[in-house]
Amino acid sequence: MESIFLPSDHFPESLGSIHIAHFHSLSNSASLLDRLISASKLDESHPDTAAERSALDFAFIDPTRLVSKQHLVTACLQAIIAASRSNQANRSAPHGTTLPVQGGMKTKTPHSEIIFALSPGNNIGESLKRFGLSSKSKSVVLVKICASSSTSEDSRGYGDRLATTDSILDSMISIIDGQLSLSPLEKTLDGVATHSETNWKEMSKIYKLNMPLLLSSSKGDGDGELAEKERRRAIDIIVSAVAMKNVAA
Amino acid sequence: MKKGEVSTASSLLQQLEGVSLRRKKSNASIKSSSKAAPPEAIPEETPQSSPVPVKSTTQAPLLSLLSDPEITKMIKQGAEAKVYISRFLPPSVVTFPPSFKPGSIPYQAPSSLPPLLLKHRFPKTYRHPTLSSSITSSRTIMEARALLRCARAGVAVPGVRLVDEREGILGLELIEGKSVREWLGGGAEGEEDKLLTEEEERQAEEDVLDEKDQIRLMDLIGTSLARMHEADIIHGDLTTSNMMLRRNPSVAGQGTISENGVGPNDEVVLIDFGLSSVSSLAEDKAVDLYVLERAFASTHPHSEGLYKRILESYAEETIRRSGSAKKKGSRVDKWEEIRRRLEEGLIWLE
Repeated sequence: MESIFLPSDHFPESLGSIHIAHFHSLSNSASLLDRLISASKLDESHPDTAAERSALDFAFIDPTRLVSKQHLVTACLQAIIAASRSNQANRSAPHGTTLPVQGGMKTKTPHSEIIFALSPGNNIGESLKRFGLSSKSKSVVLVKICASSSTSEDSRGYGDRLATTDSILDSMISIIDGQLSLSPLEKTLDGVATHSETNWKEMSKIYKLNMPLLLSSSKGDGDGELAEKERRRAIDIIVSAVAMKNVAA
Repeated sequence: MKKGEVSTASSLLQQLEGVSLRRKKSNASIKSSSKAAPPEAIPEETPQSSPVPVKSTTQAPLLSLLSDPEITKMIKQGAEAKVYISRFLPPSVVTFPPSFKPGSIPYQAPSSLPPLLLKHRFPKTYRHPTLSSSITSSRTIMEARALLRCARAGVAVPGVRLVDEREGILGLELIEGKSVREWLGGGAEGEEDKLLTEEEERQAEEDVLDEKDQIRLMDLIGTSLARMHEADIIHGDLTTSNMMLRRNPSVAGQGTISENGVGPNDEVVLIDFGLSSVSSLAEDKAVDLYVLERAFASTHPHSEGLYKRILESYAEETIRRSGSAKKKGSRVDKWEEIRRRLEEGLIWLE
């Protein structure tokens, strides 16, 4: 699992860190999805509701719909920008009311906001269907956005951080039947790599890429270099599209 | 009420409410009590305040980053925006599962993401705050859209990485390298008055391209501009300082390239779309090219040949593209239309 600690002077405390883990050989995707859906339907007043929801408090993303680490991190940052706008507006709102914030979160949690940020459309259900865990997924990327526990820069603060990342990873492993990927994310999520999980046909459709070379070149032919170049270009377009989703034409 | 000032603690809440509402478009549906009415509608109700420094946590994250010299460095300031380089994403911290045995796989440290270029259209004090923020956000949005549109059209431009349209902040991919202006010996922008040491001057002269490479560079520019205009993007501020030469090392087996030459994989990256617009009119495209001609004439004297070369490859690419796209007959005459307008404007052209 990789954790990114955003500079605490500038980002809201509750959104201070991003934790990303990539699991492959996933065997419980169907039951996990069922569990997610039923947790969302639980009665608010039931005593176990809060515990079950916090056990599942991650973004569950389908890695075949990711093209690079930057793709995912960009979506996380845009989600954090939207969430901090919502936070700020609601802090100053009269008690108990929720202001609809322009440019704020369109979904209920920062985690769903990441998935929404990945999708170019404005349909939340569709973004979950396209980018979220599916019952057939053989791998999954879990993302958690939460406060970075350390409040100071001293060495004790660093120790606190490690304790938190350990417990976050434990909570991820406890719900996933799969193998945690130990390679860096820029390798495992790289859409250009030969072992890449990226479904380029879907990506091309979702982001309306209109780049025929992207799909025509099968592996092993002489155009390998050209195809790689085309994929790098496609990744650039996709990351740009995610970053500016809020202001897209 | 200015941004960057807040009231004393008692009215802090009201102030913040004012800030967040002021930024909304007036037609946005806001459930607001009379107390929370937008200040520009009822300015009398804005609480009087004594300025106290803003606590950074109340600022938008990207805005707050700009004032931190530890991670953000300003590299340029214009009348419209300030440009910073920011490295705010630290390298990831890796956590291994308890079952992991150290040394069982070769450890690869994750690399951190590249630094970003942040372009901040700061609030203009000479404008009414409401107008300033609406102009700022619409320009930021237009720039981001133009960049994505260019990228989709196959024009090399910096990628968009972050957008905070309310604060007028755009996070862009950092383009390494030097501008075309520098490659042509025009010096770096703003260096006109600077006295260079002999050593620096010699170095700068050495880095200038020879004639053959200059022509290759012009071809790259012409092709790029043709593609951009094909996508109906008008850059609005074409100068040689708004074009970067990105050196892409060619893949092994493509022959050697001199350090200063233009390699086969090098590209011209167009930057600064702050004045860009969308138009399909030949007139606007001709004006875009005319602006470039004027810029050439003033920064690179005796370079008529180079500008002519840009037009030639621009024409070639435009004709090639309109020829292959079999739409209406009028499309084939695209270049002709642009050329006619350039001539009508008494612009030098052979």
